[in-house]
This record gives sequence, C-alpha cells and structure tokens, in this order.
Amino acid sequence: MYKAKFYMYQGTIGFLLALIAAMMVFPILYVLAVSFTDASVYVPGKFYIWPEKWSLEAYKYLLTGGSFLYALKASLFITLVGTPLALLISSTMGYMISKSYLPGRQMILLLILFTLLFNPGMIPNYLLIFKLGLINSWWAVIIPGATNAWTLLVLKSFFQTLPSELEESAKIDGCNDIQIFYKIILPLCKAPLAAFALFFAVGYWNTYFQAVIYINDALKWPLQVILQQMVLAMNMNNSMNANVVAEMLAKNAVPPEMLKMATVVIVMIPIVAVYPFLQKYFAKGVLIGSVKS
Amino acid sequence: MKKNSGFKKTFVLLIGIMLIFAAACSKNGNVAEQESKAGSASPSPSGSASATEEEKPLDITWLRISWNPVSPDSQVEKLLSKHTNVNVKFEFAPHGEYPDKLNVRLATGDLPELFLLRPDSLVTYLDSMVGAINNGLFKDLTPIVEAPDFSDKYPNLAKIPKSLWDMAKYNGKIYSVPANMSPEVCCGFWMRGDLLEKNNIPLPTNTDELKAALIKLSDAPKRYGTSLDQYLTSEHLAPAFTNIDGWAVDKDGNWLQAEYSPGYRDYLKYMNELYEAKAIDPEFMLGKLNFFEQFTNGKSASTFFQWFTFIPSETPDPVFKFNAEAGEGAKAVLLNPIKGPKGHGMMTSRYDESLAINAKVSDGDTARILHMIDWIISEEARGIVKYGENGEYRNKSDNTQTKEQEELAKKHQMDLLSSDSPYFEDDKTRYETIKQTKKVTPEGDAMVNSFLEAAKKVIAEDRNGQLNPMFTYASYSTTYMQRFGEMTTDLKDNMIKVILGKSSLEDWDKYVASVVNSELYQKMLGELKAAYLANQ
Repeated sequence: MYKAKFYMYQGTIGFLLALIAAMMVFPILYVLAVSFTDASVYVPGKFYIWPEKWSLEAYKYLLTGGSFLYALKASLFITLVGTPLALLISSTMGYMISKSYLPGRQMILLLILFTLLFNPGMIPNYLLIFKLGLINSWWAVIIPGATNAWTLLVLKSFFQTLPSELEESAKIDGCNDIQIFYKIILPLCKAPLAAFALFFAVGYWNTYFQAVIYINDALKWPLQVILQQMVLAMNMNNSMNANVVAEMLAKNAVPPEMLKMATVVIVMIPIVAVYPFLQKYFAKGVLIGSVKS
Repeated sequence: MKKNSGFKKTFVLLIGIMLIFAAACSKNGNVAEQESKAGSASPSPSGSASATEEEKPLDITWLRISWNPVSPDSQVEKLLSKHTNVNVKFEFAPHGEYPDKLNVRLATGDLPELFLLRPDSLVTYLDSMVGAINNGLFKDLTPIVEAPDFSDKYPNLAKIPKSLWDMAKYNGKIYSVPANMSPEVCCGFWMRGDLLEKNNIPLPTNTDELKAALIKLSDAPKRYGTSLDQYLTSEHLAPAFTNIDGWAVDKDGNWLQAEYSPGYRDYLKYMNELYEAKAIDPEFMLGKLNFFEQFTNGKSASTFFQWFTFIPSETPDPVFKFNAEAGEGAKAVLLNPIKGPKGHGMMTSRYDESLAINAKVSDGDTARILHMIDWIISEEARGIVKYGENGEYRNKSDNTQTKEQEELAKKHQMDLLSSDSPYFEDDKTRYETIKQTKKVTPEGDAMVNSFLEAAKKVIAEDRNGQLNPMFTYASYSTTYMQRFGEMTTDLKDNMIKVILGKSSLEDWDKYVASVVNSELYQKMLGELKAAYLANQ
C-alpha cells in the first residue's frame, strides 16, 4: 500500500516535472525549428518543433551581411578582452577590500556601497566617458562594465572565508603579496571566478545600449546591434500574413520571423558553448559569498 | 628560480595590460582634441596659404539614424566629397535608440556639425531640443532661409513650401531644415470599387451617402463597412464634422482642439451609428489586425490610407495589393474628400524629421553644409542614387534593375542619400513619378487627378491654406509639451465608449467639459494664444 502510494506520488511529481521541462524546452525547439525551416514551407503563426524542410537561408542572410564580420570582431574583442579584465579588476579589488588592515577600508566600502544604491544616469556617465576620451572606442563599453559593487562585495565575502593561515604560511615560505594572490588565493577561487566569468561574458556579449550610445562608427558596433538592425530592416509589418510572405519569397527575401529566430540562435551559441565547461563551478559559485562563517 | 619566473610572468602580464589600456585610451585622442572635435566645424587644416576657404574640403560629422546595417563598402562619403567638397563622417544610432542618443548629445553639448531631429508626430521640437535651442546650441538659419537670394543659392531647398518652413520655427526663427516630408495631402478614403459596382452603389460624396454605402457593403462577421483599429485611425473623417485638422487657431489666437470641439460629438454619433449597424468590427479595439490589413484582407470595404496606395496600374507589382482573402477581382477606388456638415474628411501631412546645424559652425561653413544638403536633393544627386554615375544601379533606358544592380546599390548604401532627406515633392510631382514607374491605367489616372484637385481645394477653402498650426506653435507651450498626455489620458477610452454605445453623448459632453474647463488645459490654451499672438 505504502509502495503504491509512493510510486503514485513519484509518478505525479515526475509527470509535473516533465511538463515543466517540456514548457522550457518547446520554446527553444520552436526557435531552432523556425530558424532552420525553408521559407517556402514556413507558415507564420504555426507551431513548429521540427523543420518541415531544412534550409540555411536565414543564417546565410545574416552571416553574409557585409557588416556581420565587423560586428563579430567587435563582439569577440569586447568579450574576450573585457571578461579577463573584469575578472582581474574585480578579483584584485575584492581581495584588497577583504583585508581588514587596509587603511581607509571603511571609506572604500562605503563608496562601493554608494554606487550600489545610486546611479548617476546616462548623462553623467556619457560626460565621464567623453572626458576620458573613450567615445567611439570599444573601451567605452569594456571599462564601465569591468566591475560593479555587487561583484566586489560577493568576492570580498568569499575571500574572507579563506583561512588566513594559508597566507601566513605562504609568507613564511617567502611569497610576496602578488605571489600569494596569484598562487594561493586565485586557485582557490575557481568557483566564484567561473561564475563571474560567465556573468561578465554574457554581459559583454549582450552589449547593446552602451554600444549604441558611446560608439558612433556603425562598423564598430557589436553583434547585438547589427543583428537587431538586420531583423528590423526585413520587418515589413508587424503581423505577417501569407500574402506578405509570398511577396518576400518572390523577392527572395527571408521572412522576418525566421530571421529573428536565427538571430536568437547565433547570439545563443557562444554562451551555450561555454556554459557546460563552467557549469560545475557555476552551481557552487552562485552561493559563494552569500554565507559568512 | 621558479618563484622568480612566476613573479616575472605576473609582472609582464600586468605591464602588458597597462600598455593595451594606454594604447586604447590614446587612440581617440586626448580630451582637448575630443572637445575641439565635438561641436565645432573644422575646415580641414589649411595646407597651402594660397588655397581659399571655398576650395578647402570641409570636414563635418553627421549624426543620423541607421535604418539598415551599415555597409563597409559605402560610397556615399566619396560621392559627397566629390560633388560638394564636404568630407562627411557619419555617426549612427539605430532607429529605436536614436532619441536617447540625441538627447544625451544635446544634454552634454557634444553635438556634431549636422544632426537629425526626430520628434514625435505632434511637434517639431521636443523639450530637450527646445532646451538646446535656448542654450544656443542650434544654428539660426533664418538669415539664410529668408534672404532674398535663397532660391538662387539653394534652388532645391527653396522648393519646400513656406508652410513647412514655418513648422521649423521656434520663437520666430528657423532652427532646422524640414526632412522626410510627405506631400501636403496625406490620405484618401479608399473603398472596394468592385463591391460598389456589384451593389450598384454610386461613389459617395458626403457623409450621409458614405454611411448608407458602408452599411450596405457590410456583411458581418465576414466583412465590415469600414476598418477601425484601437488607434481609431478613421479619424480622418472627423474633419468633415469639425473642420479642424488636429488643431485650429482663429485670428484672435484662440485655440481649439478637434476632439474637444462641438462638431466632434456629431462625429462620434456617426461612428456609433455605423457600429450599431454592424458596419464596424465589434472587436476593433482588440487590435488583431490594423486598419490597413483589414482592408487588404477583405475584412473591411473601406479604409483611410495614403492616396497613392492602391492606384490601378498595369505593372504586376503595384504599390500595394489585395490578398487572396479579399477575393478575385478586388479593386480599390479613391473617393474625393467626403463632405460633412462642417467640412471635408481629409487629413494633411507634415514632416517627421528635420536637420539641424550646430551653432558653433561658422556662417561660411553653414552655407557649405546647406549647399551639400541642397545637392543631395537635386535632380543630379537623385539620378545618381537611382541609376548610379555610370548606370551601375539601374538601367536608364527601360528603368529595370537586375538583382546584381540592386545588390550593388545596397552595398554602396545609396539609401543613405534618400532617407531622412529634405527632398520635397508636391502631390503632382509625386504622382508623376508613380505614373512613370507603375504604368497607371487611364481609369486610375482620372481618379487620382480628381482627388488631388479636390484635396487642394479643401486645403485652400476649408483650411485657409493652413496646415495644422500646432506643429508650429506647440514648442512655446511648456504645459502642452510636458502635460498634454496627462490632460488627455482618458480621451481615447471615452471616444471608444461612445462609439460602442457604452457612454451617451451627454457623458461625452461632461467629459469634454471636465477637460476643457480644467485649470491646466486653460493654462495651456493661454500659453498657446500668447505664442501665436507674439508671432503675428
């Protein structure tokens, strides 16, 4: 009796979880299916989980657009340079403010907390970037995002959980501060650093608004901006009907809905590719620093 | 040894990062360079002392919207440099983010030499732009535009009608060049000609005949007499009952908003009668289809849209066409402006954008920038944009275009010269272009000519030659600019309720009184009156 109830209970839970999983998976399947569907069989508004007829038209349109390679270069530079820089700045600063003997520590912490609570807004930020001479440069996007109060506070909390005896023994062995940080502390921080690496990488990869405001040369815009423009350029009207699709086919154009889905896939690929390698650190890293012993 | 090599690696890595940082920071120049570049017209450095101002190329930056991804092979800059001796460096922002980017540049004073203004459809200058004008950031173009020799120096810009230049004024001065203009007559009332013929209904000429025709052509729920969406786009009929195109002002400076004028209740009553007779889709406010799609899908027998939309033509690709759902043989007929109790149902156009010049640009350089703009809208430039300098974008002989030519034109980004442009075409000229490219049928030709003649008469007689005065004077009323939305929050809801029969006309009168008699609304009217009288 007990067993029957147990199995029924487990079955119900399993069924609900499968349903929830399906709700999560179907939208992704839809995105993939529409992006790989041939325009001749695509019906706007129909639900797809598998392409009726495979085609790479949408991807060809996006990837062969003249400015696509420029945008890819911009996104890669911003992400591949910005992420390590952000990790370097955040980890070193987090380590620094974790030391209770640091002169002026309280003031520094207060200043960091202040930025958590107050944001000056677009105009002062623009003036700052302008005065620094970073307008129209990728650094205008990289540097402001290189650290933030939340990251610093979380890393500070993590560093404070590390036993001080480790540093003391390293000092006794003749290490200087930089060596202690690089050889002792950093190897112990893989979990939080991996988590923040993912946050920073995703943030930099998804850069849009800052790029639009600070970068004037359209050939320096990152991928998100260019892809959004490509989709909008093809978007003739909001509600697609069969006649509009037919017109677009006659002009060998790709329906906007397919382009949007292909855009989502292209933008998703790097993050999806990197995430499995960081996942084991991510789960641990999310909670790091939230509990202080 | 191992310890030292590790330390060295770290040290070298840190130095490398600092060098990259320093290199990137110096790439855009120092602050002084940035400041001098921003907002100051910089003629190219004088090479030879004997070269005159005119001969030296002028370097400017032009901030504008990027409608399409920018092509790395754009030839526009070379073209402008060759034909106008102006080296243009374009700065872009995507359409959706352009207001934010421009507002930031206006607020910080970091303005390029030439920039696009894109306010909403109600006013020419938004709050942020008015602030910038008052802070002296915009060049006053009045001395140039109102000079007696303006049409000699800038023959193409001189084609822009005075009514549109007036809309570019603030405090009586012109601060921008109107761009992206439509002909003065915007839209016409299109009906399904095939259905009218089938039901032996003559072309309606007034609101009573129109109502009868719309009710007769309704076949709910398959088809409704007229299309209406949640934005109430049929408001083009309202002037037939109010004789007001948006706003009106009398010679004493008293302003009247169409929706709050006495005739508007008659318009709402008219729409309610259509609704009760099932000539309007009862779910129009749900926004399933926009008004245009309702017509092209055969869901409605009429719509208001641009007068050049459905002109019958012999080419297989007219401007717009009906979907298969509209049935075979579907055709549209353009009615002359419908006469109502007080006026004609017709809306006039305005423009959505304008080009402003930074006040720091010298007078000489301003003239050169205007010459460049004048060239861009000249026949020569338009010919190059359309055909290419050597026929590489389109064949001049038969006006056909191959796929390769189309791709090349896109690659060279010639659309940069035709979008956001101050090119003005009056209705006749616009129609001549359509006639040539679309091979309009004789029937279509007669229809359009009749409409344009009638429309011109309406503007001249009904409206005394004036377009919506709000576009010219709205900037003067801070209450209008800042609080109009707040005052009219419930306007659309109340209109819809009356049309649906959920509110009576007496309820509507009470609502109108509550708005018009409010302190805020009266304050706005007072400001507008003062602005109007000050500029007479």
